[in-house]
Amino acid sequence: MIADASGASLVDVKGLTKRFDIRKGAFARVAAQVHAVENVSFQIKEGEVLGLAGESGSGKTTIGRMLLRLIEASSGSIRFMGEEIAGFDRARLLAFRGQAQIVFQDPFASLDPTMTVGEAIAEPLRIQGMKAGSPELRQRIAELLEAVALQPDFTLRRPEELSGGQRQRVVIARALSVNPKFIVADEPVSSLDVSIQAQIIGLLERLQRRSGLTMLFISHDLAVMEYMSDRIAVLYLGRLMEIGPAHDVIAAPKHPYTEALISAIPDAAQRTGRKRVILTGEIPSAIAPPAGCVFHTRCRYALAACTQGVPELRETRPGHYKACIRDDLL
Amino acid sequence: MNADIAVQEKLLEVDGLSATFRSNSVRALRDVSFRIDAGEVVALVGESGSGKSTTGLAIMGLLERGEASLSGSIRLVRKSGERAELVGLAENRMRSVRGNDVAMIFQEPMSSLDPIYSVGDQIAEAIAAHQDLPRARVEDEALRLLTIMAIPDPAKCFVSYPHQLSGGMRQRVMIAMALSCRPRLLVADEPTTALDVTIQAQIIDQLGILQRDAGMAVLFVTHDLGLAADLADRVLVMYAGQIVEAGPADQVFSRPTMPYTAGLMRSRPRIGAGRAAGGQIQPIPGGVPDLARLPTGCTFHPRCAHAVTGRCDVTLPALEPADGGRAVRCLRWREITP
Ligand SMILES: Nc1ncnc2c1ncn2[C@@H]1O[C@H](COP(=O)(O)OP(=O)(O)OP(=O)(O)O)[C@@H](O)[C@H]1O
Ligand SMILES: Nc1ncnc2c1ncn2[C@@H]1O[C@H](COP(=O)(O)OP(=O)(O)OP(=O)(O)O)[C@@H](O)[C@H]1O
Ligand code: SF4
Ligand code: SF4
Ligand SMILES: [Mg+2]
Ligand SMILES: [Mg+2]
Repeated sequence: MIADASGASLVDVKGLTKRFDIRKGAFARVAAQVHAVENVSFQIKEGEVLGLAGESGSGKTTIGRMLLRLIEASSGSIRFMGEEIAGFDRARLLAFRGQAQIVFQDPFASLDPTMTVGEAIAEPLRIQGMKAGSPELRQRIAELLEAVALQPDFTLRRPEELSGGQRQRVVIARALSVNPKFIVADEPVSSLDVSIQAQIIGLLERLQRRSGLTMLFISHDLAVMEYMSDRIAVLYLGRLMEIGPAHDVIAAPKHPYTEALISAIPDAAQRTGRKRVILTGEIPSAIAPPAGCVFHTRCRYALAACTQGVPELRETRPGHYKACIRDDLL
Repeated sequence: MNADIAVQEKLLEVDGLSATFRSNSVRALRDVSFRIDAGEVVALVGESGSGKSTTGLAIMGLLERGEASLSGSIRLVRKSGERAELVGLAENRMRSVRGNDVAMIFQEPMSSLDPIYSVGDQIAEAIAAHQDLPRARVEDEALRLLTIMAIPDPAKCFVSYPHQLSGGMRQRVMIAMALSCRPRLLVADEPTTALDVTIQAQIIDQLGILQRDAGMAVLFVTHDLGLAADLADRVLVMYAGQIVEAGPADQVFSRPTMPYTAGLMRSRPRIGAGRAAGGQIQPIPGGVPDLARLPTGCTFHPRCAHAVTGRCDVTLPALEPADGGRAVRCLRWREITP
């Protein structure tokens, strides 16, 4: 379900849920829970780029980290190449680290300042058992630098000597070093200037196409996401609102939240010729999310029934799903 | 607003402004010239480090306290009709300009709000500082400002402390405070960059209404070209401390003349033009130059596809008038404009 009918899925997520405990007092008792991700299901086909969109706090990073088992899910299932990742033992987890990698948003925080570029790129390879200083390792570093368009002499440089764009290239080279099948790219270009952002998007796009990399591309910039992704999933308060082919979701959104999100992009009104929708109110707290449809407090189409049950994801067009009870809209 | 309306009332004129930071001898601004008319919205765009914030701070007189040395001129027509030269203006007079004629809002409102005083106290203090009102009226005025910024429960906001508010609410409070002196010019330095798009849309919408109602001019600093295109009458494009293109926003964005502006436009993915729609982006090669080691001639020449050796790396282009009411800093704009 919730995938393109064709092709095998590399990543298969069902009912994924994450609640963070908020502890208080001397005995650190659980005072409340953050509903970071609630009952999210999707699949990513081999070689596909799935964009994960949503505003701050919607659960994008939490999902990305769960898919790589950097944090544990509270419930639900994540299958990677058909295997449940929660069941991985140490050996399988190590192998998994060679198959699935992450690129973080902040290239300044994600590189160890004491490591040279060469050491940083080699780190995942060494974890996978390649010998430090070996000719194969040196050869591989040289290939990777070339792949991300950095001069060979960057090997000996330290992060402080690099610009933001150069650091992000190093972070990408490091993630690619083990020839992963799957990459979670968590806002990989958000901290970069437009002209540098375009260089990195182009690089990711080429690398992805060349090696048929499967990718979860996280961003709050829908234009960048549309450019990079085959399909787009839209999150709001930890729940999936809509998922479908990238162009359809942008050109003909089916969910009221997606409609508002696209319309909030400054030049969207001009470019799509649609009327501007300005949402009222703020995003509710993830500690006490609204009952029923979590978007009902800001939805201009909300009915009394919207506060009753949580809307199921339903297919509105082939491969295009929305979680909204109203069929008379959009 | 329209650039060819016959009567334009000049509000601010920046002429040959240069700024050098004392600590690192960085020349952050070089020969910056532009004007802002009364009631006009001007966007100042450019990549990180191009000098946008430095320009805003220079206008506010917030650079000179030993931090940077300025040359050139910034002339402002004050509410009183007086034409004041802001470069080198004594701090006590500059303070009066800041309280009455110009105000600034920043990306991170927390840095300008005091965490230990309530929002109401801070707005009231700002109002009392430039308007001679009895105490009760000050409070009314504060509530009025919070209301016009579309804060849902102004009375509750009034007694709140900054940390109790969301980022979007804090930015609204900041704007309300900045507007308390009824400035003729608001310098807005990336006020919505840290906010979510749906909140940004609310605040921009509100700011637009206030700007039109008050006939206030706005210098809007942003690196978001889409936002600039959306809200500005005119746009100034900065690169490495210089203005490289200026003109009516529709002109500059639909037919950029300077190769850097054109490159920026091609770098940007557009909504509705993704892979499936055959969309293409084309990055500008290389990165922005180190201000301490600027390229000779045109500072953009190492990245420019139109650069001609012997010309572009030798001669520094002047910002010269071009068609469509714009100004362009490029030696070859006549040859390369289609
Ligand atoms: N370790 C944690 N402990 C408690 N709450 C957390 C933790 N990590 C994330 N959260 C909460 O979970 C929710 C989802 O956060 P997440 O970082 O996944 O959002 P996001 O969509 O990546 O946002 P952003 O766009 O700001 O990066 C938020 O409400 C966040 O405050
Ligand atoms: N207080 C300072 N002391 C020394 N150098 C400074 C100072 N403030 C800014 N600079 C330098 O001056 C140049 C222009 O900085 P400015 O902050 O004006 O850029 P900006 O266009 O606002 O960039 P951003 O988009 O990152 O905010 C940069 O090279 C910056 O490093
Ligand atoms: S279910 Fe109701 S509240 Fe939710 S998006 Fe649909 S119309 Fe709006
Ligand atoms: S002056 Fe030369 S290098 Fe500079 S923008 Fe024009 S063509 Fe390019
Ligand atoms: Mg995140
Ligand atoms: Mg700045």
